[in-house]
Amino acid sequence: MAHLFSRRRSVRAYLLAWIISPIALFIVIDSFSLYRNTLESVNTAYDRMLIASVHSIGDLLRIENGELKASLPYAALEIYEADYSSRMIYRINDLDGKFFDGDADLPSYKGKADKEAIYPALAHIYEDNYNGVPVRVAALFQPVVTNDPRGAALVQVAETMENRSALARKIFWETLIRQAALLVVIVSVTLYVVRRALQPVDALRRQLDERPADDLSPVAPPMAPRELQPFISALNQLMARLRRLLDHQQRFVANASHQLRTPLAVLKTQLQSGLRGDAPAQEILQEMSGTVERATTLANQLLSLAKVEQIRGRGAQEVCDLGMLARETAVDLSPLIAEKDLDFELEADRIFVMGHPWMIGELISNLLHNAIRHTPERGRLGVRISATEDVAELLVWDSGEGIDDLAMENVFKAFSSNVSSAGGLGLTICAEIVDSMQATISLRNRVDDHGNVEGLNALVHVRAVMS
Amino acid sequence: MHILLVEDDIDMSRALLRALERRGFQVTHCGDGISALSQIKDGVGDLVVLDLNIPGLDGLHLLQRIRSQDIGTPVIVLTARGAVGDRVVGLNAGADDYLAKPFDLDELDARIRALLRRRTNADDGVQRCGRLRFDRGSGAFYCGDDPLELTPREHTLLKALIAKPGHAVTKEKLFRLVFPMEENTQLEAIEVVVHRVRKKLMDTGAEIMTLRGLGYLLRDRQQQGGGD
Repeated sequence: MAHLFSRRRSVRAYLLAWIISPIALFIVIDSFSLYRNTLESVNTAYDRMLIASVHSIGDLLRIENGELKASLPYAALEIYEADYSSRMIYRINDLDGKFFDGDADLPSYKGKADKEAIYPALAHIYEDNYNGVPVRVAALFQPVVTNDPRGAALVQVAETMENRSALARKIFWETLIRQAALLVVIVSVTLYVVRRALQPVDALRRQLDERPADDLSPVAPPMAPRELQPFISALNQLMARLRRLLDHQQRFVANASHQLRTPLAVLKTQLQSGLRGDAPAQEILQEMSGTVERATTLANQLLSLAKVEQIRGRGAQEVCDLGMLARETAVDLSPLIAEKDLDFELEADRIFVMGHPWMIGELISNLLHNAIRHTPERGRLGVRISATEDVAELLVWDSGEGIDDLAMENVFKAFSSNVSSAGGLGLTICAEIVDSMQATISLRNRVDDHGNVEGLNALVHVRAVMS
Repeated sequence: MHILLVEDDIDMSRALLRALERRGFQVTHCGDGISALSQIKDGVGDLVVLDLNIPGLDGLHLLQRIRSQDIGTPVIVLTARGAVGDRVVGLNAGADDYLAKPFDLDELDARIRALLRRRTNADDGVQRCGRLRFDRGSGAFYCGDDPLELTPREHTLLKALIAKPGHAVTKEKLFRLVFPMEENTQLEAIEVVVHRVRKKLMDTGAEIMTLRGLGYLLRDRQQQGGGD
């Protein structure tokens, strides 16, 4: 049955095939057996008449002066002719087995009288040919009174088979017509019921077909049966997710294009200024190089954010070693740490969380990047990974200027701050990744005893799993 | 040295042509995959700089075609895609190196020279950091012209660090290299070796920086902006 599903056959065809074919098969077998049974009954009835007639002829045989005599009222046979469509023929052999009376064209019975039998006067029924016409014959060894107690005359009565076959044909056709009618009824009822049952599915399909491409509102087909409800609600949930995603992406594209246009505008200004000779070429080119650098960072972050979205959509999560990922990320960023001569410290236990390794690496990388950027030369910063019971904590700390409360509000939202100057989309990427892991992220200023800001703590909390 | 530049963007080609010629290379430019394939088959260029997004025959397919025909010309792949996945695909297809756009001209220059060196076997086999020099041929470290006296463990450690100057090497990795098959030695033993190497590097201009909890990196003290 599995292959039927795998070939994406329609439910309609599937139901029809599996309801109708067993019934049809049953009807065919049933018709055949019904026909056979009826034919047998017919044969039995006709054979009884043959036997009765052969006995009645046999009863009329007698021996007179040692010679076989028969006084047959031929009309008697007509009693047994059920109608005029079939003929009765008889033949009598005398005690020596020679033709005695009747129709010599009827072949003589080849069997022997069972003289040893206790009851020899049993009629045999068999089929034979009479002038090329198939006949059914009853043969009887009729004992006659003679000196030889075992002398018997052979009496045969034959009947042509037109009658029987006509009857058989009649029965056959009647059976066939009845069963065919039954099959037609079953097929039409099944077709009707299946179509009725699948009507809501068709209605739903039509509703979806008629929609414009951008219509992602919930579907509500009228009179949807209970079985279809889970499907419809799943569909509506999908629609809602798509709508959210589409909204998000439209906003994102608009913002991104705007943000990418900014460095282009800056470049153009710098370039025109350079061409007019406002400043030495070397100076202008240096400025342009900085602008391009920022635009590149922004474009990379946009790609990174798109990749986060893409991986999120796939939804595959695995057990990740937070400590190991932090170590790898720190190694990757070590040239930047060395460049600013920073005092770096990593405290990373092996702690496991559910997530995507690339995303977690990206999260740590973004936070560490920010920390490196905001820490003054030869300042201190570090990464600490720890766990309390079942919560893993990722802390990235720096000794920078901290963050003011106002900026804290919007720092995770895309394009809220001036991207070309600040860390750009780094924290937006972090927020997106954290959200996909059902984790939380917060930024807190670290304050010394005198209330002065010492630096910033970026904290991520996520559920830890057993390794 | 002759470079075949396969790139369809006119502005990019012009800029690269100018920059590479200025740096002393002879450059042939080609704007599509099919003519690039025939030129590579004809043996044009000692090295190919290949953009992946080119018309005619996609860069990756071009790469597979020339590699399947056993043409060993070194290829540096350039692409706008920067994801790690593309990098792996590119390198698997037979690229010798990979640069994501936008890239630094100096970086491209360095990679081209490295590949050509590797091919012509003209590698001087020397790695430098400050005045510290590692001669891969003899396996010896020098400060200027004076050989540096190092124990085998110190030598192994410094060799691992100078392989990637400015880049951290984890403590665990160093430990496995310096103390192979020693199960009873503590991880901290590496610190003793580092301490001794530091002393010997005093006059070389190179120094070992500690990233606590992570590892160590070798850097040129002179290149530190705020370095002393």
